[in-house]
Amino acid sequence: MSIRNNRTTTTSGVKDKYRTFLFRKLLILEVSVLVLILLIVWSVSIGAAGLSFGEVTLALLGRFFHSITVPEFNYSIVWDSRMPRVMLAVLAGMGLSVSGVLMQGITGNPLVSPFTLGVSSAAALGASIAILFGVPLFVQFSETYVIILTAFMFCIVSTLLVFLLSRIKSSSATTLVLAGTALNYFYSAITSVLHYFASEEDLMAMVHWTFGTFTGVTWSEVAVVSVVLLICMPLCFKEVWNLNAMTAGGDEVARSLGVNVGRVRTISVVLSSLITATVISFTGVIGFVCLVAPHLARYVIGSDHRFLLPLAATFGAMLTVGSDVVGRIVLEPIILPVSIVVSFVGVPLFIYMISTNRTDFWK
Amino acid sequence: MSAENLEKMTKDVCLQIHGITFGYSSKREVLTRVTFDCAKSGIYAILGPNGSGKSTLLKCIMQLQHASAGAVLFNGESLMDKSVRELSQLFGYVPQDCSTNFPITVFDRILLGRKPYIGWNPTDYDLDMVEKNICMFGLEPYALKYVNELSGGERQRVMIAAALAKEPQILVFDEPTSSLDIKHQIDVMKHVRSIVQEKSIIVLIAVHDLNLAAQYADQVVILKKGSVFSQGAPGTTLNKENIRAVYDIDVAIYKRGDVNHIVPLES
Repeated sequence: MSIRNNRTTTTSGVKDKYRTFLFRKLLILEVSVLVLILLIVWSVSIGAAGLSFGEVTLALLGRFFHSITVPEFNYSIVWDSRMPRVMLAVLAGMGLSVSGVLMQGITGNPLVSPFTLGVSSAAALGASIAILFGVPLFVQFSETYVIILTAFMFCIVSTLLVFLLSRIKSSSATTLVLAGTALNYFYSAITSVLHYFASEEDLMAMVHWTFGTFTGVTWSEVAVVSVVLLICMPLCFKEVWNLNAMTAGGDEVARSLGVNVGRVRTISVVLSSLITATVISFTGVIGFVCLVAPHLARYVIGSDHRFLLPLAATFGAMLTVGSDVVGRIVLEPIILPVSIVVSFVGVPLFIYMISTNRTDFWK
Repeated sequence: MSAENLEKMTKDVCLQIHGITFGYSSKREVLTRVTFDCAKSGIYAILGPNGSGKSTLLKCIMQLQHASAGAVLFNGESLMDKSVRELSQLFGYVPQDCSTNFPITVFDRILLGRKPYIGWNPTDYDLDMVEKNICMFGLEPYALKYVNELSGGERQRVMIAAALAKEPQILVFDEPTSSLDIKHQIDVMKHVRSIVQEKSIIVLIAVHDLNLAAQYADQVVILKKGSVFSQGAPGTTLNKENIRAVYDIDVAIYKRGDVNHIVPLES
């Protein structure tokens, strides 16, 4: 190396190379969105009614262009029975994946996900309690909604707890993760107690809830999740530069770059917990997406969060939609729960990625 | 040279550290009433054995840690009242450990140095500053490589480039040369000196290598158990008695010109 004293020349072309580099990232992003759209259409075309890819495309477009005539039957299959399911899968994948990126960003630890903070076991506990006791407060709702609401409330309460615990001794990344992990075990223990004393029927319902499924989804569920995501996602995007700073070398470096680390950490924990809570209350515990999708995206595009966040979202959606399709066709007519398939699809991808990675990020 | 640069050259900079006291817990103080002045631009080496509070002092000066008593003044203004953003524009910080768990490119890392000025999209000027610093440190071949893939010395250069990209008025190094071989150590120090001369900024460096401090620092501040033991020009301050008192070792000192060469003696 020689440090140059000639400080005025800036004709190295590095800036242009960087611009090309950004352009390529944008291209990757666009292509992956396109692939996701194709995957969605393909996923809608899979099922007992035997619709072709073309028929599905026409039925999908028929909603927006009234000049296209679509058979009533096709339209109803696509829009009433299949699209809600696929759309919830898309939203779930996006939400979980973005939550994962946020959590990994603020803890500087690539192995952390919202589930590390105990959100999933809190939801499982909430669902178990609702199944066991039926929570009379919400009698006007159907049983499914009682379960969803209780699971959601437990997630939120749990997040607040993690937060208060981590506040006792500043909000450092380590305290956050440790507090979350401790609570995680605590909820699991209570859930196990409930399992232990539950009737066989209730036990089955509890275990089934944690599997996660997109079966029987309606547009109203999709609407609730979309509203939450529409509010939270822009707020996540607002933090991209702060996340970049926090992943570049720890709290002190981030603060020396003008980042209010405590504030970003608070915002991110709240956002990712809210998103995760909403998603898993409706779908059950789909865990692995939070870890695989962000890592795949980082592997492809690097950890510039301006690009990482949207790419991780599309990868997450691809993973859940793809897993849902696999779960529907592999043992037809039995439908495998998404959470199981996600792991079967995700683990090989994950291991492939780890083994081919150029650098070791787990030093 | 532009008018702005001329103004910078003539403007006096002055950093006053006054009675800084700090402890991570209330029982034990890491720093006790540390007081010294950096009255003009130059390289100020902070010396002292492990645990004497060098890194903590730097963090207190940058307001990354908040001192329980005392004040830090820059050009007469207290830094305690400044916002995080204002502070980040003032200080360039090169940490001791600059590893990361995430795949971030050299260009992006140096661009982050501009973060205190970036709203959403980096401006052309931001990118120019990054390019300039990449060229200055000969990092062109690595610009789009991940920081993790570089050697320790290359990574150190990236961090220094990132700290300089924000055009700070005070540059703070925590053990900048600890992971560098002897040639790179000298290169970095020479470079820092030329930056000081060109931009008339204050450079605070925590170092272990007494010879490096003797050769390149304008002033040395020796800490012992959280207090300033001695401050002054390296030629006079780095003497046998002081080193004996602070490090508890005997040394021989050879003078070559103005520079002291310090050789530890086995006892």
